[in-house]
Amino acid sequence: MTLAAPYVRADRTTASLMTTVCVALVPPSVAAVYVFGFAAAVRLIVGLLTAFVADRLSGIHRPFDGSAAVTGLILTLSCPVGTPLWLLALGSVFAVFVMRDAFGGIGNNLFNPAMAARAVMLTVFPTHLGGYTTPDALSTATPLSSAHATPTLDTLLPRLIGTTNGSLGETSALMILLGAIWLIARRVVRWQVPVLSLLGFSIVSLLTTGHLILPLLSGSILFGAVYIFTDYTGKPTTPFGEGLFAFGVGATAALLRIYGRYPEGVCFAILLWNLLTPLIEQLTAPHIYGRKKRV
Amino acid sequence: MKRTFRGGIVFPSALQNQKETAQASSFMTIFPKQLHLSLNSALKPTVSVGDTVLIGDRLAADPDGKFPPLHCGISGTVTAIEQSSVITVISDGSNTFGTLLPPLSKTASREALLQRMYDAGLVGMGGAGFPTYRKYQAPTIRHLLINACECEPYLAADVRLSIEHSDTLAEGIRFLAAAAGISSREAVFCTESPTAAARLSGMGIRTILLQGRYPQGSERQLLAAVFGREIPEDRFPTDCGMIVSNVATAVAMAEAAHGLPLTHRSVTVSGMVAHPVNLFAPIGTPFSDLIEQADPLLSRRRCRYIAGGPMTGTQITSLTSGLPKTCGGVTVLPALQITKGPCIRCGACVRVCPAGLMPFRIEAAHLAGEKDNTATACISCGCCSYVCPAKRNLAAHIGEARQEMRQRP
Ligand code: SF4
Ligand code: SF4
Repeated sequence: MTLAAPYVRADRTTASLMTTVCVALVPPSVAAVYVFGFAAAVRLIVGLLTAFVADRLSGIHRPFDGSAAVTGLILTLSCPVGTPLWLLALGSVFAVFVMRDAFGGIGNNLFNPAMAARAVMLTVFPTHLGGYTTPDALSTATPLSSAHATPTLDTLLPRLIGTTNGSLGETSALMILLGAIWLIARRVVRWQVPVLSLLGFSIVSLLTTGHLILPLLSGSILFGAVYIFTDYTGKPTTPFGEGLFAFGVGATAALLRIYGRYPEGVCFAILLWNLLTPLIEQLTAPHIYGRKKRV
Repeated sequence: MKRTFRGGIVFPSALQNQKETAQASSFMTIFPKQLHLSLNSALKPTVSVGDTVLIGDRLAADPDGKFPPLHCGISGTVTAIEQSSVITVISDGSNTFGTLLPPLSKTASREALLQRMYDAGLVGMGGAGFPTYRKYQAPTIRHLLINACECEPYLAADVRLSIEHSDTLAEGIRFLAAAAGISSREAVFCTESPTAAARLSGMGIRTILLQGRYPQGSERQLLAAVFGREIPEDRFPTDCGMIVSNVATAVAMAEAAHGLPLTHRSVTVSGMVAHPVNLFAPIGTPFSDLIEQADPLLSRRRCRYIAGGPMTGTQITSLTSGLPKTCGGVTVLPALQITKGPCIRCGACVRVCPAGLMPFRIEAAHLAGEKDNTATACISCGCCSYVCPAKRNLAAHIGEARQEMRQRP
C-alpha cells in the first residue's frame, strides 16, 4: 500500500494517548487504595477488567487502543467505595458496550460513556450508589449547608492529602493535581479546560453560597475538571468551543450541586453539555482563511 | 515575538536537527551521464533523436508561446524522445556551453526582463511551477516577497542557497523587483534562518525573520504572517498587488540576466541517507544519480523515495525519472506502514489547520459521500494528517473532496 502524503507522522497514537491518560489516573487510584484499602483495589480491578472484556467482545476497536481502560477506570473512580461489585461490573460493561460501541464506537458517541453509564446506574439503582462512607457535606441532599463555617486548615488539609469523602477518585486533591500536571505537560489536555471549568464552578458557587475553597477541594468537581471534562468524547473540538464547554460544565455542575436533587452535579452537567456540543462546535467553527463569512 | 501565521506545526527537535545538518553542507555540482527531461502538455520537442546539444540549448518549446521553454543542462546527444514527452540526452562528458542569451544590464527595462524570464525558461521553483513572467506582468504590484522559508523537514537547499550565494541572490532580487515594476527597496527577503537573514541584510536587502513553523513557506500563510492580511480564497496574491517568489527563482533570474537559461537547480538529498547533501544538478538528472551522491550504498528496496519534502512531496515511482524544475529536494524515508483507527475527536487537526478548517469533519463527510464546501479552502499542507493520533489520512481525503468540488461546483 502506498502511504499518502505527509510521509512523516507525529509519534502520538490513540493508544499512546490512552496510556498517558491511564498513567494520569494512577495517582488518584493509589490514593483511593491508600484511603479505602482492599475494597478500592478490588473495585478498580473489576471495573478495569470488565471494561476490557466488554471491549474485546464488542470488537469494534481492533487492535486494542486503551480507550476501554480509560472508561473503566474513570467509571470506577467516580463511584463510591460502597458500590456493589456486580453493579460496577454491569455499569462498566454498559459503558463500553452500549454507551460507546452501540453509538458507533469511539468518536461517534454523543455522551461520555463513563458518565452516561454512571447516570443510568444512579437512576436504576439509586440506593446502591448512595453508599458514601462518610457523607460529604456537599454531597448530601442539602448541599453546602454545613459548609458555612469558614474553612480552616483543619478542614482543608485532609481534603488535600486524602479523605474518605465521596467517590474513589476524589479522595486526594493533591493526587488529582499531580495527574493534571502530567496531562497538561504531556499535552493531552489543554490547561484551559480544567482551569475554565473550575473557574465556572467557583464563580457560581461564590455567587450563590459565598464559599469557594471548600467546594473545590471536596466532591467530584476537581476530579471532573481534570479527567472527565477533558475527555475528547462529546467535547467540542474547536479551541474556543472547548473553553466555552469547560466553563459551562463547571458552572452547571455547581448549580446542580446546589439546587439539584442528586449529589452528582458533575455527571449530569457533562451529559447536558454533551448534548450542546454539536451546536457549540457549529457556532465556534474557526474563521476560514480567505473567506468573509462562515458558510 | 517573531511573526507567524495561525495554526501549523513546530517539528520535534529530531527532525529539526536533520535540517540543520543539511543546511551546513555546501553545494556540490554534479555532472550526470544522462538526463531524462519530462515535458508538460504545453511543450513540444524542438530537437530530434540524434541531434547534438550543448549546455543552454533549447530542447522543447510551447508553439503557442505561453509556457516557457526547456533547456539542456549537459552537452551530448539526444538519444530518445518517448511519446514526445520525455527527452533523453546522453552526455559527451565535455560540458561545453552553447550560445547563450545576451547579458542584460542592471537598468534593463521591465519588458526586457519579462521577455528574459520567458526566454530563460523561468518557472516558480518553489513548487507550483507557474510561469514566472506571467506573475510578474501583473499590472499593479506593490509588494514582492522572496521566500526562503523552507519549512518542511529535511529540506535545506533554499537556506543554503541564501547563505552560500547571497550575492547572486541579492542581484536576482533586484532584477525581480525591476521586473515587477517596483523599487528594490520594496522587495523583502523572508526566512526562518537567522544566518540567511544576516547575509541578505548585509547585502542591503530588506529582511524579515519569521518563526520556524510549518507551513510558513506557504504563499498565503507567508503573506498573512508578513502583512497580517489574508488573500481572498478566489483570488491570487497578484490580484492583491503581491508576488511571492522562491529564492531559487531569484537566483535563476540573476543567472538569466547574465545570459544563462534555467538548466540547473539546487536540491537537497536527505533523510535516511549516510550524509545529507545539497546539490546543483541539471534539470532532468535521474533521481538515482542524486541519491547516489548522498548514499552510494543505500539498499533500495526498503525505503520510500519522495520528490520534495515529507509533508507535501510525492512518492517517486521510478528512480530513473528526471529532476523537474520545481523539485527542491529528494527525501528518503523508511517505508513505514500506519494503522489508522477511528477519529477520537481530539481536536488536534482543528488546532493545526492553517486554513481554519475542521479536517475531521470534511473527511467524514467525504467518506460518507457528502459535500462540505469548506474543503476548497484547504492548502494541502498535511498538518492535519501529521498530528492525527488516529493516523487518519485527512489531507489526502480532503484533497480528493476539493478536487471533486472544483470539477463540479
Ligand atoms: S485541512 Fe488542508 S489546510 Fe487544513 S491542515 Fe489539513 S491539509 Fe492543511
Ligand atoms: S486529529 Fe485525528 S483523531 Fe483528532 S479530531 Fe482530528 S481526525 Fe479526529
